Parts: sequence; C-alpha cells; structure tokens
Amino acid sequence: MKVSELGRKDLAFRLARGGLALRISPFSVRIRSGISEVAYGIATCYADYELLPDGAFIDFHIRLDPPGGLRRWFRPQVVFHFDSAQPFYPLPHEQAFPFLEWGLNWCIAQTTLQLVVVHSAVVERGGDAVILPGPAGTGKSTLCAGLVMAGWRLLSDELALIDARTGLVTPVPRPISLKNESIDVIRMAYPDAILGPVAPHTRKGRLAHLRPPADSVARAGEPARLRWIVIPHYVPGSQPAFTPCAKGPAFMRLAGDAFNYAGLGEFAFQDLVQTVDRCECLNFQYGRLDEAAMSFDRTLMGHS
Amino acid sequence: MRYALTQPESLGSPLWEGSGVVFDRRTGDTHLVSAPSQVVLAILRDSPFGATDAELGQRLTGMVSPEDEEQVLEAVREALIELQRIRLVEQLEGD
Repeated sequence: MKVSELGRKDLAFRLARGGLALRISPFSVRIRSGISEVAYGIATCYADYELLPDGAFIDFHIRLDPPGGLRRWFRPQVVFHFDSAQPFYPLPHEQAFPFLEWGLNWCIAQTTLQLVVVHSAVVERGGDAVILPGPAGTGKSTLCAGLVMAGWRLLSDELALIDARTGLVTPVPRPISLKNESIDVIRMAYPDAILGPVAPHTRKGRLAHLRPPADSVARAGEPARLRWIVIPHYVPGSQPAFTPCAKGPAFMRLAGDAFNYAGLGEFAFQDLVQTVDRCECLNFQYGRLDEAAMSFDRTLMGHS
Repeated sequence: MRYALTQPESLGSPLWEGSGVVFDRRTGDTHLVSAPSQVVLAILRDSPFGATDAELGQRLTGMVSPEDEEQVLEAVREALIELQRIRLVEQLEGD
C-alpha cells in the first residue's frame, strides 16, 4: 500500500497516533507528528512511497512535535526527535516539513558507516549515474530537478551513497529541495510538477520540495554504475558547456562534501580515490534548464 | 641533504594529470599536491634510506629528456618545499 492510497484524514490520524512507517529505500522510517504541515508535506511529496506493515523493522524513529511551554502557542516552534534524542534546536513551526527532510538527511549521514556519503545530487540514465556535487548556490538541486523532469532517474537530491568496491551508487530518492527563484523556475517550466508546502523564511531563504517521479521511487532498489562526476556552475545567461575537470580538484570537491569523510578516514580516502579514478570528471556551466538537459543528453548519452 | 617520508607513510592517489591527493595517516588530513610532488612521494616510497634532491632529480630526468635536467631539479626542489611544508617529507638528521 502506498501513501497516496490513504485519505488525508486517515494519514493525519495515523501520523499523529502510532506514526507512519515508510520504506524510504534503502531505509525504513517511522514518522510521528501531529503537525498539519508535516502531514501535508508527506501527502504531497511522499505519495508514491510504500507503507510498511506493523512490526516491520525500522531504521529511524522520528518525531516532530511542538515544544512544551509558551512556544507551543507564542511564535510556535517544532522539535525534531530521533529515537529518544533531540539533536537540534527547535525551529519555527512553518519549517516543520523542511525540518523533517533536514533531520532525515542527518540521520542517514550519521548512521551510514559502511559507505561514503557525499552531499550531492545523483541522476541516472541507461544504467549510468552522474554525481552532481557542489555547495549551496551552485544550482545543484535546480539542475537535478530539471534533469529529473526531463526523464533522468532520480537517485538522490542530497545524499550520494557510494560503494567504491562495486562502483555502484545506492539510490535514496527523496523530495528535491528547491530554494528561492528555483521554485518559480520549476513551476514555470514544468506546470505539472508537484511541490510540497512552501516555507518562506528558512535560513536558506524560501524553500519547497518537489515530489520525486513515481518511477524513481519504484526503482529505488536498483543501484546504478557511477560514471561521471559533474560539478555544476549556474551562470545566468550562459550557454551550456562541459569542460574537463582535473581529478585532483574533483577528489577534493567530493571529500569536502562527504559527511562521513573525517570519521571514516583512510577508508573514505581509498574509496573516493577509486571512485574518482574510474569516473570522467567534468565542469558544467549552464544558464537555462531546458538547454542543460539537452546538453546532458547530447554530451553524456550521445543523443543528438 | 637527504629527504625521506615521515612515518607512518602517507597514502597517495594514482599519478593523475596535473595534481593528485595524499592522505596523511598521522593527522587524517588530505592534501592536494602538484604532479612533481606526487612523483617525488612515489620515488621516496621506494627509497628506504631516503634520497637527496640530486638523486631525485636524476630519477626524474630518466623519465624525461636530459636537456630538461635543470628544470627537473628546480621542480624537485619546489616539490620538496611543498612536501616538507605539509609534513609528508622530512630532512633526515645528520644530513
């Protein structure tokens, strides 16, 4: 059974009571919350995700609740609980759904010890995956959204789980985080795109999440071979262009963006060396999403 | 003067074009190093008693043409400065 098969009232009721157990591949997550923004976000962005039966093994038990005291009513806030811990300071109530997404990223990054986890988008076509690392503001998520809307499979918007021994990336398809102007760009370019609640005043500005394509969610169990490391640079008004990127700087980019690099130490170094060694490394400058997607198809997939 | 790798030995990437990366096992730091530094590290890994800059230059000149000898020696000296600065290479005592 999928989330979309639940009525809105039923979803909100389950979420507030025992919690909703979801398969967010490769993990299982139980989310409990009585906050309506969380229910709305799950209904819109997680519609195609599988519900897990009672008694299923759960990797992450997450709860989002208002705090006690005055903050329940006066400038209301929300608290994120992971198991019995409260790893973050509370955030404004309107940021409840983004808080769920950020918190879940943190849970995955903190607990994945057998693979290098890189803060990066990953898309796939024809069995070959492209990793798109880059700090905020480089257009990584916007490019990822544009590629996914143009038919590339979403493996992840935020977290690349890389297995250097096999050369495969484990998919973690989750809602794509869009910020500020990117929200309007995607809405204008793709009127059918489904977005979750808009949080207007986060630390990163205005923020909304794009529902991942149903096909990407359905194929979450299919890893893909990592073939390219593409470092995106959004330059307004520019023509799309791929240029070679030396492997040394590409390695430093990945290592700098890896959540668990310092913790894994030598193991992460060797894994990333192997990964960079076998991938083609490129810089990609773009100004328009439609042109960017065509350029990806033409240059990487050889489509004219 | 003789130079040798600091212990425990650092880990290096393959010889990539332009630059490579090195992991310092003592500190857990990762460094982006120039191509000549990568080659100097690789030679010192095979030199248990260390090597002088002239010996390193000779090994490298063997990989390129003899007329580039002066340029190669200059590149070796720059690489040794870089590698000593990030403490992957040290000058041996008594030399």
